[in-house]
Formats: sequence, C-alpha cells, structure tokens
Amino acid sequence: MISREEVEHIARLARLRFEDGEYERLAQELSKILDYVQTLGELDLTGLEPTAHAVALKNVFRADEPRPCLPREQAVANGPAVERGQFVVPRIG
Amino acid sequence: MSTPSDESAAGAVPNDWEAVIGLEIHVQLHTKTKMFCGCPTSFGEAPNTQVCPICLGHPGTLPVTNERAVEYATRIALALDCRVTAHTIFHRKNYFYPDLPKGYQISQYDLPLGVGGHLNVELENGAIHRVGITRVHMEEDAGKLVHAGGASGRIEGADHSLVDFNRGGTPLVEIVSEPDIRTPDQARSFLTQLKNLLEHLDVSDVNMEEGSLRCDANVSVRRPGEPLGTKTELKNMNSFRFLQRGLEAEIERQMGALESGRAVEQATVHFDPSSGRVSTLRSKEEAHDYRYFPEPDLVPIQLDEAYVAAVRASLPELPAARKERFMAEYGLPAYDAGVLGSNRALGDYFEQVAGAAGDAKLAANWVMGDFSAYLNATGVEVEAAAVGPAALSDLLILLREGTLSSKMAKDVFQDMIETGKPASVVVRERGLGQISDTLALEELVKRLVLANPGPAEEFRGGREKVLGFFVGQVMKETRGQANPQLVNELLRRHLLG
Amino acid sequence: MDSTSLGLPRRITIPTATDLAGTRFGVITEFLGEACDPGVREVFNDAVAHIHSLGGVCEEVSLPSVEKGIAAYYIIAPAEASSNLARFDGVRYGHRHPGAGDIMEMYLRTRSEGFGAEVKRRIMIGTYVLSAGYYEAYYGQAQRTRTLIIQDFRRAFESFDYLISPTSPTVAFTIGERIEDPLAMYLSDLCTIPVNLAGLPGISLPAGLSRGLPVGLQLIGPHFSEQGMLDAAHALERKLAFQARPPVAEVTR
Repeated sequence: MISREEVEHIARLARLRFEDGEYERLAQELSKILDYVQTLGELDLTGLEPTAHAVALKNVFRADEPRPCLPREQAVANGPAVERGQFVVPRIG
Repeated sequence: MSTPSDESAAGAVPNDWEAVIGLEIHVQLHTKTKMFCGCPTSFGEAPNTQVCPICLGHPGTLPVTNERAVEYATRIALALDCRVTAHTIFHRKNYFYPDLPKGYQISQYDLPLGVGGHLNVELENGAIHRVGITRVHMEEDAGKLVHAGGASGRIEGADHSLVDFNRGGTPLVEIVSEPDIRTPDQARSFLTQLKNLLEHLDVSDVNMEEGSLRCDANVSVRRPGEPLGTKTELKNMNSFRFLQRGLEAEIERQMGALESGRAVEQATVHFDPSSGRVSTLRSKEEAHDYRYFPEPDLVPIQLDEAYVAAVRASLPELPAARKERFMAEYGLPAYDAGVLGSNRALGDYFEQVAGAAGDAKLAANWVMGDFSAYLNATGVEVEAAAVGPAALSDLLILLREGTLSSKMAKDVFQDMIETGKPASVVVRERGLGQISDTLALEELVKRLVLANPGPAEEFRGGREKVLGFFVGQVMKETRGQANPQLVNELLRRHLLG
Repeated sequence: MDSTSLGLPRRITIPTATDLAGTRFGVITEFLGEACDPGVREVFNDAVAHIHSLGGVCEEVSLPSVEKGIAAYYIIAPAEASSNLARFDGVRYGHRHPGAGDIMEMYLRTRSEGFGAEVKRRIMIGTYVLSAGYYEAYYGQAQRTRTLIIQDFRRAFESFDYLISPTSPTVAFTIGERIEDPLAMYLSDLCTIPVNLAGLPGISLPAGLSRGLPVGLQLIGPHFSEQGMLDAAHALERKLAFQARPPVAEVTR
C-alpha cells in the first residue's frame, strides 16, 4: 500500500497537484494498479534481456548537415509569455 | 540561502589535510549541427533563431543522432585511453527546468560511450600524475536563461527569467575524472592539458569564456589516511583561474568547518569570482530523482572494432607524442618541446617557421619569445597573427645571415606587426641592415686606429677594455649597423698588426 | 525519417482474396479464458466456423506470457508517458496558469489544470515506477516480460500464418461504467496490448453482435505480413457479412 506521503512526493516530482481529498483516493488507486502490475513477479524472467524496441534496429544516424531553422516569430508564436524573442518564465530562485 | 566564507589566501593544502577532487567537464562539440536535429550550433546569434520543432521539444517530434557527434565523442574517448563500449545507448534524465525543453535531457547512464581511461598530467615540477577517467558520455546541452528584474543578473533576486533555446540540443561530451586530484594546482594542470588535448583532436572550440568548455568539481577534504569526507559539488568555474580559486576557497571553507567541529553538508557550492567567495546553494526541493530510463525514441549504437580502429587511425598527433617528436626531430629541449607540443596552433606555426628558416632552435626561441609575447599582449589567435610563419622565417633568415642583429630583428618584428610589411621591406625602408662588408668596415677601422694612437697603444699594452672604445666609435660611425662580430675581428687585427 | 522507423519500401495493394484455402490460424487459448464474456466467445466461435468453411485451418495455441501483457504495458506506457508529457510545462506553448509567482507554482498549476484525470493518473504511475529504487522491479521486469511475449509470438508463428482472438474480452461498457475502477478499464485491452508490445500488425473485424453490441475478431500477423493479413481479413469480412447498423430494439441494458 502506497502512503499518502508517497503520493504527495510523486506528485511533486511530476509537477502535479491534486485537491486535498484526492490524495487518499489516488493512494488506493495506485496501490491497486501497482499490486496488479507486480504480478509480473510470477514470471520466470531469468536470463532474458529487456526489450526496448519491438524491432531491433541499431546505428540510425543523420549526416551533420544543417537544415533550415524556424523563423523566430514562428518559434515563439505559441509562447504563453514572450519578451524580445525570448520565452518569459516566472522567478526561478 | 547562502553562507559566504572568506577565500583562502594560501593556495596550498596544509600538510595535515588532504583534498580529494574529481572533475566533471562538459565539452561542446563543434559539429555543424545539433545532437539530434539539423539546427546549426553557432554561438552568439539572436535568441531563438537557431531552433526547430525538435530542439524546442514540440509534441510529436523525434530525435535522430548526429553521426559526426558520435565520431567526435569516440575520438575523445580514445584519446583518453578509454575502452569504447561496443553497445551503447541513450537514456532520458528527467527533471523540470525552464531551459530544458522536453522535461528530460537525452544523456547516457549505465552504458556510456567510453569507460576506464586516464590522462597523464604533467605537473609544474615536471612529475607525471595519472588521473583516471571514469567515463566519457554523450548528451545534449540545455538552453540559456537570462535572469531579469534583479540587480545582479543572478538568479537570486530576479523576478523573472528569459529563455533562449539556441544552445539547446548542442552536442556535449561529459568527461568524468576519478577523484585522483589532490590540489587546486593539479586540477588546473589537468584541465589545461585536457583542453590542449581536445584542441589537438579538433572536436571543440574549447573556449571557457564562451562556455564550450565547462568544469564542475566534486570536492571533499580529510585527514590523510582517513575515509573520504562529505563532498560538495562546486559549480560555475568558467576559467582556469576561477577553477583554481574556487577550489582553494571551497577547500578552505571545508577545512574551517571541520576544524571548528562543524560538519560539511552535501551541497552544491557556487563560486563568485567578483568576491572570491563560495556560497552553498541549499535546494528547498527534495533531492533530485532523475528517473533515468532508456530513451525509447532512439536505438542502440554499436561501434564495431573496425569503426573504432578507423577513428583511432584518424586521430591527429596528440600533445605527448608531439613533444617527443619535437625533441627527436628538432633537437628541442624538453621544456620548449612541451610548450610547443601542447598548443596545437603554436606547434603548427613553429614547425612551419623551423622548416623555412632552417634553424629549429632559433625558430623555437622566437615563437615562444617575441611571437608569443605579441599574442599575449594583443589577444590575437595564432591563425590570425599579423606575422605569419613565412614572414617570420624570412626575418629569421636575415638574422641568421648576419644582415640583422638580434636587437635589430626585434625592432623589425615590431614594425612587421604594426605595418604587416615583409621583413625585407622594413629593413630597406628603415635603412637597416648590418654592415657585413669587410672591405668597407676595414677602411673605417684603419682610419680610427690611425686617428687614436693613444688608446691604440694602451690596447697593445694589454688593456683589453680599450677595445670597447673602438667598437663604440665604429658603431657611432655606422649608426649601429656594423656586424659586431666582424668589427671585433677587424679591430684586433689592425690594432695588433 | 525518425530513428525507430524501418523505411521498408513495401507497397500494399487493395485486398481481393475470397477464400482462406490452406491458411493456418492459431486461436490464442489465453484470450478465451475466464475473463472472456460467454457472449463474446459465442460470436468468436461462429467466426472460427466461417474460417473453416472458407478452407482455413484453426487450432488452439497457447502463449502463456500474453496474459501478463497488461501488467507490463501499464508499467512501460505510463513510464514513457510521464516523461513524454513533461514537455507540457507552460514555457513554450500550450496552457499556462497566469499569475504564478514562481516557476514551481507555475508548473504545478499549469499541469494540474491542463491534464485530465486519466492522464494525471498515468503520469503518477509512470513517475512512481521510474522513481529511485523502483526501476528494476518495475520497468526492468516489464521490458523482460516484453521479451518473453515476443518469444511466445515468434514460436506461435512457426506453426501458424496468423493468430486470432476476440478483440476485447467484453462488449463495450457503458459511459462512465469503469471510471471508478481504472484497472478493470485497463483489462478490457487484454487481447490487443500484447500485440502492441511485440510490435506486430493486427486488424479488428466486426464479427457479430452480443447483447446487441458488436464483437470484434482480431487477426494478428508476423512483422511485415500486412498484405497477407489484409487479404485474409477481406475474405473473412465478406463471409461474415456483418450488418454495420444494429437494430435499436435489440440493444439491451
């Protein structure tokens, strides 16, 4: 069972915040789902390599050749706050 | 929260303490394009003009690895004597920061490109200190933040920040050293020689001021023989001097804390060059949890033996080998060979001058002397020097042939820098040129001996010093242009003869 | 072309086949077990009979690992989603909560407002399974399970041209029915998820009705078998002659 504190910690890592009452419910839901996915432990996986891609490709590269960039007005066009061609973000420190 | 402390005045670590230092160096590769997209990597462009949907992290865009970046990284790994991992993959390092467009940095984790290398660092006293290289891995750079609204341009006190993603996605190689470094001096020597090595490899601009070479340090102190102390991570050392001063200040701070019975806390430490102080930046947040996992948008890289052998074969001559060759081929002393061998551009320049002038020792003296002094005084790069290798060797030939004295050659060199004219033109225009014409000088010497019978008699009586009087007279008449060796010879012959 | 695309130049033509003579179909045992609704099984068995009548051969085949497909998927997919969706941070595009005093507050509010409940749930699962100390127990195991699933499929394709199963173990549930029970909702993808994990092509054909709701038949082929699979699906679809518009009166609660 995941604790409410763990849920709060994970939420912060993921930059999510929930209503006060939601943390207990989430703790239960996540516990149930994680209990289920842990049934993988029933399988004998010894000696098996992990698979990251369905088809085993390797060495996919591109040549070091420049391609056109976006015009600046397009690059920042969707920015919620833009100043002198740069994205503005609130205080970091 | 910051805790300033005074910078140590003394650079050395006292005998009853030992510092343990490991360095993490980030090298921006000077590929034409970014690590995973075709945007150029140029420096100093207007903000957000070197970006595309991939390096801005737009939804649905996917990365493709720059082949040249892998080659450059392999060069670095090989030059540091690392084992190149046959099967290497990228991981995602997940964290939120406004200069990180995707919310993760594509980096490497447990399968880095190179492992287990070393760099043999030549210390000030000439001793060789081997520093282990833990790993060499590839990753992408973040964008750049400008902190606004505050007084200092620093993150503290700023009320908002501006983000420019031009740098975002630039290929980086991170080099992590073993904690084999014991003093700030050693750290500086390590970084200097690493920079020289990277310069020879031609993979990066390695410019600390522009940020293409960046250095962080892990530092702890202990009593010799004791287990490792708690380490701090020292950031923001963007010059060799700051690296040294930052380490000195941080070591001093840690020793001070321990000596007064306080503990060193694990922290990130910032060095402020203007005050010479270090301050600990304690994060209000929980410890980092980067949630590394293999990057699903990229496939593994398998560098087979043939590839590694080809890259190895393409490596240029590296500083240590070059030093050896300069000693063997040109007969240079170890010191000269070391200086010229470590600086790629200067070494190239020297070789051209030595070849054309036909006198390697003379060439080395001039390249390390007047020429380097000129570079240092003006900040000009070797390649952009006003006096190229052909021009300098022409000057040295005039010197060797006796047309110019050393003193005159130095003056002509200054003129060449200022006017960009060849040595022969400067000599002609200034009416310089040593008089090595024996007949012409002989006339003058005869006349002076006859005109000064008193001093001539004194010389014959054994007063060697009087020779100086006659040399002075000759130089006066020739406005200093007589070949001194020849004048000496002629005077002796006519005074005694 | 991105890094994970194969770029094989294969041209697919409009399928025209009308029979299944000599084609071997493996019926995946694990997808007809307890979780499978009896009504769904009935429609599926009728479809198997149609395959026989077209000259195809059907036999049961067991792929034990596919039952763990959902468990593996609900580690891998949320993990990747939690990372993929980190770019929605209110800096370069999309929603931003206005007026946050600092960057943390901006992130928290922007992302909490912008994502829906199910997305946030998956981000939470994904962040959890990747967080310090859990990687190997969850993500590592899931990727190994994926290897096992791929091996099971590969073995099955040594004996069969295609594999078949119901597309879903139940007919469509009503709106909101499983919102309180996300795991039950996830389990309705039992039969399709392992195919995705193995990167195989699959196609779903409407095969008939159960309680007035459509039941799908899933056809799974080896890598790059799309042309043959479409041909087989075309022949079967003609035979099944599914009435796309169910009579309203037959829909029961």
